[in-house]
Amino acid sequence: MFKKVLIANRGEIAVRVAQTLREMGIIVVAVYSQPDRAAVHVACADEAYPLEGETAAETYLRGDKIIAIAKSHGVDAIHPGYGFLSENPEFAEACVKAGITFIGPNADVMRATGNKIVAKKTLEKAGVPVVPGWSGEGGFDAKGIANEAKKIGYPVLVKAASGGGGKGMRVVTSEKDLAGSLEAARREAKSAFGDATVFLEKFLERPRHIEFQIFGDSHGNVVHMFERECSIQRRHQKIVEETPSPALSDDLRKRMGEAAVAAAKAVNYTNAGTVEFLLDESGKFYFLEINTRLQVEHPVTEMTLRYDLVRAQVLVALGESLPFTQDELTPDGHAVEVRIYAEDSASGFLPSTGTIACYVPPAGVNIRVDSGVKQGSEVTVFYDPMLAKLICFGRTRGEAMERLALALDNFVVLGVTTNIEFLRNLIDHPDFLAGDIHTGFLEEHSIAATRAGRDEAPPMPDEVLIAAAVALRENGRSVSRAGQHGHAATLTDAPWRSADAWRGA
Amino acid sequence: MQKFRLQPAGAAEPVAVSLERADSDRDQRDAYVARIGEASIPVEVERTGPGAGWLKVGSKVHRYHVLIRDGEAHVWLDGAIHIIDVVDRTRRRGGSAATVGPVDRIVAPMPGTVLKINVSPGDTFDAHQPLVIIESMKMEMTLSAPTAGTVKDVRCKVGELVPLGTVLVALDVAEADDAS
Repeated sequence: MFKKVLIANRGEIAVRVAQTLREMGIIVVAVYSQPDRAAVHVACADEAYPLEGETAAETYLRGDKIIAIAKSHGVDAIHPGYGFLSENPEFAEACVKAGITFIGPNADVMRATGNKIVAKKTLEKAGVPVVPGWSGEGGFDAKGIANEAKKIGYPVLVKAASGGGGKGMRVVTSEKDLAGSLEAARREAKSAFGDATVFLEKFLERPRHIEFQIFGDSHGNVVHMFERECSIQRRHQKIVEETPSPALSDDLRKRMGEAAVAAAKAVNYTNAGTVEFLLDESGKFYFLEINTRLQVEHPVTEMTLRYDLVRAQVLVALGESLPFTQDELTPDGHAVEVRIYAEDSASGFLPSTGTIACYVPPAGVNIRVDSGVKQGSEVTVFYDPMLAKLICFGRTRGEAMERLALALDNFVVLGVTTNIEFLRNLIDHPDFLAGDIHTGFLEEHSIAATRAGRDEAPPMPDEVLIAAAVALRENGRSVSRAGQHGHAATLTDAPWRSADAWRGA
Repeated sequence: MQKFRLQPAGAAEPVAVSLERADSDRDQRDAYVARIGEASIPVEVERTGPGAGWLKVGSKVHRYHVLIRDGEAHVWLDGAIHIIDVVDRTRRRGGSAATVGPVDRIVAPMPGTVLKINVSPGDTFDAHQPLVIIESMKMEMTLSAPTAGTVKDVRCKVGELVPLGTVLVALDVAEADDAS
């Protein structure tokens, strides 16, 4: 067993990984940037070391600094979480070279899957269905590409070979827009990923995003751990994920699961990963990409299969066989996850920053909250604005959604704007409840950002005014300080406002 | 009685909201009559923390959390957040606008230990004079009244562990405005 593991990440995933490591009796080492010095993930560690700097590029992306810390403090293995260095083959190699185990697939697997063009070709050979398209072979010749696009049939999608998260992606509906979109996509891909290579794919109408959790070990065992449907996305980022998918019949699930295992075997996959597919309206599915990391949405799989994926990652990294066989994996019930973001759903989902003055997550049976923040946390511009994940389990999809609705109603965050009320409205939408979802759902349906915006309730219920008055009265009575004569601007002296002062003293 | 002028985001006019204690010094649960415009509404409040608790308005129960910041109240109530402008706070009978209402007692704004009591029954005190110091999680907090007055009763002891909302000292405060 590892004695000491460093988590090269921050936020909720670092907290979640630390939980399992500590359960396994492993000493947890955290690293942190300057703005994260009082972050929750630091408090969850046994040891913590600073990474000088503020931005991700100066800190959590600095593999050299992280490996140096690991080496000088006797770390046996590094868990990369997701994002940052998790899918960086050079980092995985550097770990091995330094005598440290990288908890994840090896660099060869990352290289075979990291380039989407290469991955697509490999998998096509292995018999996995891929989206019809043009691989980018023959170089960047405008006329040649136009011919390819015509062959595929408009609309087509221009995608970056090294891309992700929607960057370097363009939908082209007719030939006249092709040249301009190609240029823009190449520019964006170059600046975001340092690689301007793009390729074309048929653009599928109203596709569903269905992915399969895969797991392999170093003894040649590969299993799939069933699907997650992640069709609800904003700006090409998932915000609601569930399993099982309401779109899959048993037969389709079986065929897609087999394709996922075939895909994993084709690249000699080890450790945890995800094979992503698009499912079109006719029930045809196409390989999209393989992600060589633990996914944000892994908890829904954990809830329906009752296996801890991080524990399995650690065991596989130690060279053990998978702790489960395909036959032992029998999912049960329904799980759904929503991502709680500090963002303003009313203005294009722009990130919102500030101090979290009040943070009370819901709790209860079959409710799981993976939080990366606490009361008093600062949400800064430096990192992803995801605050937490809320995961609910139910016997049926309906029960899981009912539990989720109440959990969202009980999720209190004050101080930064969040998407909680937006999510609550979203999961009430009749099409969502009917399971009629696709990746363009949020473009097709307009979802109100606040409860009041949806309910068309009276402008301000009496109880809201009363709650405000009760708090103002308490504020005036319990704290009396020079200068506080009820002038509105000095009301910030209230004790619940200054979470920092409370902690700091 | 305390009166607040509250302006919901997007509303043209502020609404006058007042709270009058219906049953004083009972226990943690406070009973009030809220007046919003012409309506009188019985309210019970159970505080669970600073700026948080639940309300019983008539027979309806609501959970609330309130953040007061930059002249705004951010009210989380039953899963929805409402933003309200606090226009000013006024005292009964023409007390000058923007003053805190009279304080008839000092309550524990957080659960903690009483560190020091500076006054005895019958003592007079000035506005903002430190009356009681309590400590919670190694943080000290000095409690005082916004106006001058006389100590009616001291209801805590040094070293005592007090829950949130405990009445520590009962006060007689000058109600100068009422007399005028």
